[in-house]
Amino acid sequence: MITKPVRVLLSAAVVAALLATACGSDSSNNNANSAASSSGAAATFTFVPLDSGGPNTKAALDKGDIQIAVLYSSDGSLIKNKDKWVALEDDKKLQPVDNFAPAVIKTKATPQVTAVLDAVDAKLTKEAVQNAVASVSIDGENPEDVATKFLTDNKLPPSGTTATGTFVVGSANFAESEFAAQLYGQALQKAGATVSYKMDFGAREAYLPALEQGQLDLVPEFIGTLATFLGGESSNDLTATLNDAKQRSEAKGFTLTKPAPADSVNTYVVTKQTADKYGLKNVSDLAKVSDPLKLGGPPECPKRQPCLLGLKSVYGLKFNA
Amino acid sequence: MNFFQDIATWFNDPSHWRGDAGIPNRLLEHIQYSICAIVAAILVAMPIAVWLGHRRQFGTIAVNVSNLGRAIPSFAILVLGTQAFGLLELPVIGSFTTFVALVALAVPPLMTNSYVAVAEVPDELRDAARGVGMSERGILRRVELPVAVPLLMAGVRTASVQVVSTATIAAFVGAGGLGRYIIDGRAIFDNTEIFAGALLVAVLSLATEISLGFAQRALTPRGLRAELVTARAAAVVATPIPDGKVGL
Repeated sequence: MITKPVRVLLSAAVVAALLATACGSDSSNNNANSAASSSGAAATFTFVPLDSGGPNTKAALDKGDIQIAVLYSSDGSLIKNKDKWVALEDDKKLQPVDNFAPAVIKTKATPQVTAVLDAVDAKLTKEAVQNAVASVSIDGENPEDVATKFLTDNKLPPSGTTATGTFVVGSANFAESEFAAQLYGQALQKAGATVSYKMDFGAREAYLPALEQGQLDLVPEFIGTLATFLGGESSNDLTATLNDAKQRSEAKGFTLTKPAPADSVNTYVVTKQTADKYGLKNVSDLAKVSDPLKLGGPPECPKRQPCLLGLKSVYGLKFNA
Repeated sequence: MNFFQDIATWFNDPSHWRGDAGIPNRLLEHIQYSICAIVAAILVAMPIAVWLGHRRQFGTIAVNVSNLGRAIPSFAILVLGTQAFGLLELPVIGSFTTFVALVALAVPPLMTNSYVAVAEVPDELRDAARGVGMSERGILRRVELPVAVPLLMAGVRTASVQVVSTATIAAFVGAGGLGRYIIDGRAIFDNTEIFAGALLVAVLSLATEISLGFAQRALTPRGLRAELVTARAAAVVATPIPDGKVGL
């Protein structure tokens, strides 16, 4: 018969043992990390699975829990935080191109219409998109107003361009797409076309069939993702990717006009302190870092070429995942 | 190959059984987060609830305040906590925001059950204890708590099963645990990995429920164990009582 104090002691011992096990596994992890840091030159980095350029990744970068964050090059917080964050240059061209370009129904892509869209895209730089996305998704402004302001500021469409016809402009449900849809739509409208909008049409699976069937006339696209979606391949060669995407699109009744300089690809971001401490400017500079840094990104990152696979094979970095 | 074969193949793959991402380590992490959260929630909720139950006062207030933990979704705590503390990792408890979210989830059932467990101890027992001259602390320790064990433990069981099944959210903030398979599987559209993760969580929840059921039985004083009471009652009915003495 177990007496009561003994029973209390026993349960206390069980709890203590469990906590000790937990503690023990924790400290052994720490040992592994410190062993890696002392092993000299090219350090083994740790991958931390977080979100796709989302709030957790950014908070972790700001708090110093990770030193390298995987964000999108079109993310508005890059320009908002340009004083404290540094986006590393993809100097070995790991990222497949994914520039902005409007997908237009072939019959409506007349030379006049193309001229208007090309003029808009010429001004759509990386910084311009980051600014617009920051206004929409951080400051909560209306994509419509942001697009109007962009056109006015850049004097678009250029005087002398005209467009005719009616356009139904669609967009996907994220800030980049909404802004770009408004931009192309309003430019055509100012040039003389009749434009109506179907915003937040859904994912590519929803809006591309609508474009094929003529329910939509224009949708903002990303050439690399579009090429892959249509069964092709995106590479780091802009012309090749564009031609591939264009060929596959035209088989389905729509075409792409000239892509903008702006894109939406993975970009590796560090804080200014980290950049200064290790002398980082390009992604390839990471290979010289001898401290075991942590890289935070989307959970699928370890299985993706533009992410960990490419950082290992193209940039020669070492990861524990 | 059909889906169940895929699952079996997944579990048979030796690479899923070793290293940091292996099942044993993920299972340990999951158990670590769960135990830390439950122990902390018990330390927070039980003493207050038991004392208030003994006084039979302020029960509604305590229960309603602790129900805030149920009203705020764990996921919201996780998102806000990450903005405030980043991915703060502490020794023993692991991811701090996950810990807070799980404790907030575990406190309400513990608070409610513990309060009710002690407050509902029959008046006759307390009066008898007071009548034989026991102190207030003595009544609580030697009469109310033993009688309250089944309900107290029911609270621990409910809280534990909820915590074990919810500890998957640790994976949202870059921590480990079995949720890793679900989140990482979803990220690469690997239904097999998602299902394997969900299966492991379900099995662990069931194991928690069953083992705590045994613990509840072991901690319940012999005289209060339901099957003993009914067995004796049956015996009383079956055997004639000599001299009019009460058999129980």
